[in-house]
Amino acid sequence: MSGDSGTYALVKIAARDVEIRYRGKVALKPATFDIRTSTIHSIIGPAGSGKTSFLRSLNLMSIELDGAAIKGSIKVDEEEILTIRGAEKLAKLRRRIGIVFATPQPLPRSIYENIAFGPRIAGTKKKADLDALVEESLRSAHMWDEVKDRLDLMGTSLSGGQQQRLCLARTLALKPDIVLLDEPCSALDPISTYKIEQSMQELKGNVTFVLVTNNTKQAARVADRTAFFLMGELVEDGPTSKIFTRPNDQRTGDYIEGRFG
Amino acid sequence: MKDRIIEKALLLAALSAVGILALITIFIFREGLPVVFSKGPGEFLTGTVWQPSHGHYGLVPMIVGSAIVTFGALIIGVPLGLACAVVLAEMAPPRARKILKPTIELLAGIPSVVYGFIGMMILVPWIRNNPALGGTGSSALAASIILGIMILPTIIGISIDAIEAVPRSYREGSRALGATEWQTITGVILPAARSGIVAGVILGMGRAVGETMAVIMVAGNSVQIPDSILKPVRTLTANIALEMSYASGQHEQALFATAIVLFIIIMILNSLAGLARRKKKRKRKLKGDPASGVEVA
Amino acid sequence: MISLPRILHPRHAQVVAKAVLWAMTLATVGVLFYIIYFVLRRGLGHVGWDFLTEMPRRSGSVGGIFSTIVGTLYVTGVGVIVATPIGLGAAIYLAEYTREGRLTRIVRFGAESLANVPSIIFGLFGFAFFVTYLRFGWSILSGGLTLAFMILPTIIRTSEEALRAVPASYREVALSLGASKWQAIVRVVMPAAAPGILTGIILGVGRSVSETAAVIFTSGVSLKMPHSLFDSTRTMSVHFYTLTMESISEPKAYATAAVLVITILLINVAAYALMNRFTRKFR
Repeated sequence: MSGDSGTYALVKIAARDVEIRYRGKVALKPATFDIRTSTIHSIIGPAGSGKTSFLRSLNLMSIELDGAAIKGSIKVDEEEILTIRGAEKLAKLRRRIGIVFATPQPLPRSIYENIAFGPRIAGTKKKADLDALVEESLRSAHMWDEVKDRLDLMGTSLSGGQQQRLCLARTLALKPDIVLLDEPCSALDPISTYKIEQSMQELKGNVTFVLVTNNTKQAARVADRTAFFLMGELVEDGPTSKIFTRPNDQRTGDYIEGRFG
Repeated sequence: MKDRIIEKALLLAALSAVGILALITIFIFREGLPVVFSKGPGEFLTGTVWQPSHGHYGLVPMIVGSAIVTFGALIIGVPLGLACAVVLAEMAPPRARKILKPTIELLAGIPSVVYGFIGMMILVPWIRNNPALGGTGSSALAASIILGIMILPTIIGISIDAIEAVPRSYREGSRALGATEWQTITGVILPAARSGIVAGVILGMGRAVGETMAVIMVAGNSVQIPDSILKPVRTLTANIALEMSYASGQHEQALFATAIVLFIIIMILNSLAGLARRKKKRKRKLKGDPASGVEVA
Repeated sequence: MISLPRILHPRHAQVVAKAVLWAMTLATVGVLFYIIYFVLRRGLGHVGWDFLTEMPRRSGSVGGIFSTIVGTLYVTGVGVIVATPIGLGAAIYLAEYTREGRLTRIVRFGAESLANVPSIIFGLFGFAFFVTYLRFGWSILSGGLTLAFMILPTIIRTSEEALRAVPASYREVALSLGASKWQAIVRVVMPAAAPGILTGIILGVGRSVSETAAVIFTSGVSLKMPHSLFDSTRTMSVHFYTLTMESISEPKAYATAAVLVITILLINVAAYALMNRFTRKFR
């Protein structure tokens, strides 16, 4: 179990009284907590708790694509993101805050092109630069050796686990500060799951990970801090070790012990 | 900023269809309305004499011609079309469907002048030489048959969609109650698909009313109210096409007036078809979830 | 409920009914095949390389149909080149930029109504607007623009379907990687929808080639080789119509019909093959 030794770490994302509504219905009651730099912060809780809504709000996708209305404040590196408007600024935000979705979604292109997609749009043109980025990203996702001779293979022809690692790699190609993961391993075999968890732990020095997961054991394995959401409410947030052994709230303990799900 | 311009440009493109429709309406009416006002709509809609050289613009013979030919086309096209639709949607095995469906869609692609040509070369002589029929061959009957074949793809296509849209649960419920496949088709599926099929028939009517070239080639085109289907007729469309090349002045305007009448008829048919389609949607909403309790007709 | 007289057991009634329906269906298909067979049998014999490459002489009773082939290509070309960007733009707007509401209902009403307007009215409109009002005269331009208006609804409809068939996740992924909405559409959605969009364009081409009434009043009937957009020209279908109605030459008429039918067949086969490839991709 990894734990936070209690030393002060900078705050990367500061959420204050964040309330999320869809068509008037509340998906998340005002929630306040911090996500610290260079940590893996997991968000656990049963389905429908508002975890994914919160996650997708961090890169503003919930507003743009899901029609969410958000009150409160979300600051990244002390800059408010809820007021960001305009295609340019949104795109820039998404290069800083990447996301890996629950089901692997490779684009209908080759492995190489999947990874080069983001950087190309961001302005990287030279082949040498792109080649280097592709290799680096695939190495970070522990995939380089598997596919280095088959980079022009269609992304969709890979296995599920490989596809998801590809999705992680293509997000990393943009050199984000933050990577959001929405139950990334729920459809994967244990080995692929392990490799992704390994990537997270190796990269967290440079990247802050926010991991939504249904799998409490995974949270226990990799996360420095854990937040527990239940039915649209942030119940508790704290160091993983504490949440799992001496939680403040009765409900937290019940969920972790599996007394409800 | 660039994105906003793009969005506006796309909106403009989207409105183009409506814009063009408006443009067509404006120009047809612009050219045709003056003579309608000067002669009065009664001249056109109730006059039985079409003699442009004397300023007579009675459209009744042509309206009757269009009507006869259209209904004749429906008599042929609807039963055949429905039969094909039922076969393709319910009875044909997948492999047969793969061949039959594109073949029927091909029917829709054949140019109308080729249909008219076939009519001229085969159908008209056949009618003329047939002892039971006779006449000159170029007749309302010939036009009805050709048009009936031409509207088949329209009727078949829409009927297939309507039949396939009937929820599976209707079929399964009916069979579970002991009905045969045929009883299911006639008792449950076709009634349920009724509005869609009606919409298809109305659109087929629209196509028949609007058809020009094929009709000109087989219908005889004489301006008279026929007393039998073996006599030649002239439709509204043929009227326009035949005389447009040499008409001028008020005569030309009268042809535009004919187009106005045609246009209005088509718009009415379109609205009816749209209504039929919407009735189906509303009916389904009122029925609620069909899977929750099946009542067989 | 349609009930046959009780003398027939339902299962027997079913056999009879099914047989009748199949007969009707096969008759319908048979008619189609017969039409094609009839035209090709009498026409193909007169079609040769000369027929396709020679100019028509003496009103088309002698020689070939070369100028009409060129004319058809030009007029169809103008039609497709004008209709595709507008139609595609409209489809993108409907599929990507709006939700179902009053605006989309208006647009759809416009497109559907336009699709049902008879070709003779298009011809008349083209004459009043392009030939006369805009003073383009009887020309490839007038004919092509009229055809563009005619095939616009087809392109809008098939393109919109093709765009909607692209999985929503593609757009989401592209956006999450820093693409703007438009970049996502151009780089990811449109390439994925390309086969479907192309099918619509090909169908538009087919419609243009078969069209007669709209073209005859806008492009004219000149048999001369067209050299500019403002030249009048005769398309294959108009030529065929003229040959037939003015009894100029029966063999030439059959031959032109054969060329027309084969062209349409090839176009439909191409469209169908593309449609197949497209749906298989997203199976």
